[in-house]
Amino acid sequence: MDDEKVFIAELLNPKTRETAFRQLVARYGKPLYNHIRTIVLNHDDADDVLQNTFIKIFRNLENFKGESKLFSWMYRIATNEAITFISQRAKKLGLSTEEAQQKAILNLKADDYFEGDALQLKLQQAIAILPEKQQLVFKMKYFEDIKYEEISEILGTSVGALKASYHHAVKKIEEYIVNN
Amino acid sequence: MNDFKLDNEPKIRTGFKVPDGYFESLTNKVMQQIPEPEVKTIPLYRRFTTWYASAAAILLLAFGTGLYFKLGVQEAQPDNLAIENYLVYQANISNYDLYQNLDENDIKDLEQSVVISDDAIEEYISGQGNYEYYLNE
Repeated sequence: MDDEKVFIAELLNPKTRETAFRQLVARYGKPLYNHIRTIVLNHDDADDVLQNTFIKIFRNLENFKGESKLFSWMYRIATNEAITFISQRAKKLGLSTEEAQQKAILNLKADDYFEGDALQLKLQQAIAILPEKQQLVFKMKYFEDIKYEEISEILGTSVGALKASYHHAVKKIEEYIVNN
Repeated sequence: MNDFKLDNEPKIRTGFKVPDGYFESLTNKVMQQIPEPEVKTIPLYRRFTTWYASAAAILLLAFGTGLYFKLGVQEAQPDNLAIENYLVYQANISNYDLYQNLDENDIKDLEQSVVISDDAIEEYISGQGNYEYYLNE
């Protein structure tokens, strides 16, 4: 935790900011990419959203109050950017977000950067029919292995509510996979 | 798949891949896009422009002041005719306003300066419909 305080101080100091930010991108690039990719699904979009997320993080460093962990704060920005992106993508296509997500899943079959099998595709389809919050909780817990306490800080939801959401999500996904 | 349980299965991966070397090049790609720190610089030419402008303004002021006193410029006073014309054509000044500003001396002056012939008075009265009423009074 002390290390984090020192790191944050370096990020806020104009003299050390650039070097510290370089370290931040190198350290969090991969987990943030994975998080964004589970939401937007395709690589090129995930790349765009990730870069925008880092630019937003850099611009807002001064506003980071240190009330939450740096990790949670960055994940919150990444989540908002990714969700905004998928709703804009749906709007452009004249579809609902769920319809646009199902379309994006079908496109994965032809995607060079997707090597999933039929079960992996079916899992993505099952996730896409869940309410948005359940989708996020499931992806963060199941794919990214983030602790409930941390998800709670990122999404601003109590741990109890998150556990209930995850439980509902798992049930619905299992049902979908059995029936389809 | 009748008893499919996510927890019983080996974890299903997302199946997502990234292009080779993507994360290695990410840092440089992001760093190229972050805004440069803002340093306020005033170009040299702009600094000189400010000095030139200040010097010119001082010279102009000194010259103008000297000229003013030398020529003894007086404030121009409008003559009576101009004032009269102004009052006549100023639609929002009523006769009443004029009467209010006249004192006894003004009236006397006017009586002396304005000569009204008897014929003119007669003509005016005969033009008024109810002059007989005033005669009877």
